[in-house]
Amino acid sequence: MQAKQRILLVEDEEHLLEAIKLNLELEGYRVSTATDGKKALKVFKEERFNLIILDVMIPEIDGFQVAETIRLQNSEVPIMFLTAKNSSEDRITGLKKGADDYLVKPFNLEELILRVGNLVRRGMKGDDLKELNSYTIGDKTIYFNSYELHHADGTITSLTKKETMLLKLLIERRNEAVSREQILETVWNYDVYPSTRTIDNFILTFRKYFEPDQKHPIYFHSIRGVGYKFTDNQ
Amino acid sequence: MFFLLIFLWGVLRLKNNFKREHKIHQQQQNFLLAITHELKSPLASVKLYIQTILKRDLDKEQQQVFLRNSLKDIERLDDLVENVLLTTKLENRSYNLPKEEFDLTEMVAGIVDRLQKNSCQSQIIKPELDPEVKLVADKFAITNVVTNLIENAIKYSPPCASVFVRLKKEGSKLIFSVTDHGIGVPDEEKKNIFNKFYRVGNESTRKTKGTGLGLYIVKTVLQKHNAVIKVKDNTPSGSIFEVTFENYAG
Repeated sequence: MQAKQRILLVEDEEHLLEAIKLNLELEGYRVSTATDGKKALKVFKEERFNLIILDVMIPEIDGFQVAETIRLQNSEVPIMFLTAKNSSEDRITGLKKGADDYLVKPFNLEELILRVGNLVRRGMKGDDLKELNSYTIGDKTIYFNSYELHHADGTITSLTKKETMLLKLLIERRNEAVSREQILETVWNYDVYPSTRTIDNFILTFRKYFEPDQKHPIYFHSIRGVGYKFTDNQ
Repeated sequence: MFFLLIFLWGVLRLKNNFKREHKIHQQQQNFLLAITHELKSPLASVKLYIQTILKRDLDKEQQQVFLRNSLKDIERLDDLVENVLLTTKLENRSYNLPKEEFDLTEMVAGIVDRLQKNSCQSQIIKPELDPEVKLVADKFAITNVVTNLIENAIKYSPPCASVFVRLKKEGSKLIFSVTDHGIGVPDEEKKNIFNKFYRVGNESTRKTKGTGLGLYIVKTVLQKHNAVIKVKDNTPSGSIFEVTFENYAG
């Protein structure tokens, strides 16, 4: 089953938040919510999203600033402003801050659903283009589509589906820490909750495959209290 | 020398006028932003609730929740329109508030009851009201004053904190007060909070909603009834808004 696309909805009006969330969930999205700018940035840091829907006039940090901060960390996730601010100056500010779309309150439900669908699909297409088919670590190459690891001497090791997915996730996010929550969400999709030990065992296997010296890893690192990191400066 | 002093005095006045104009302009801008938000948000909720009910196959219970929430949003819009209309009336010099005798105790008790139902289940609005206090005043405008003061106390209090509402006869005076345990009003803001359009902080990021009309209406209505309002600090935290009707003879 394909994982649900994830949306972060930032809105401080309780009724509006509730009704938008319900509609998006009925359309098949998984929705996380935040009621102020500070919480929004915290949630954004902890999880991965396919779309951010942002109100502008929200407590703590306004929506424009939230978008600007998100853009500093992530230039790809689509952002849609959903706001009562309707002047062309506001729209221009919103787009300048890195938004992909701007919808004014009160809006039509159908229009919201169509625009959300377009933005999520556009984000997915971007991901497809960047699809990673293979990756070389040292003298070994991983082929993600065939779940294979090709060694320099020509021998081939079969990888399990979860090994391949975890490798792909760590490689796509190379040189940055990936939290256990992100790994569980992406690789295990929260269907089963493996213990931390399970992920550790995967990392041990990867070290066996790729590290010249398993006791002093240069590629696969555990970061205490955070998660794991794949380091490669190629 | 004399001309130089006159000139300097003129420059100073011009500068002060310019500063005042700029401040008024800024407050009007804030008001426009605030009112845009305050009008459009409940409108957007009501529209979305109705569109959702029409589009989705919701169970009856969910529909009831959405309809009840829509009604609350409509009441919020109604309050806002009333406030704007009342402000316009109050600013019309030829407008005289229509006065009649009514039972203030009964009115305050009714408002407490309504706001109690709207707020958190365990929200304690504690009324301590002298019985059968009669007042000759504009009933609609005084309703607005009492509602504004209690709503403010709830708005600026932590969820479910106690709000005390007192009505007491003291000789020729009648004292109505609302006490909360909220964030309080900083001393430097106390003189400004009754000004028209005045709101604490930046409009885009403020925590509480409003237009900056509520306390202005309160003060203006009370002035037209020869009553005064004071804001004092509560201990250990929060505020006391105290209204005194002088020469009350009811």
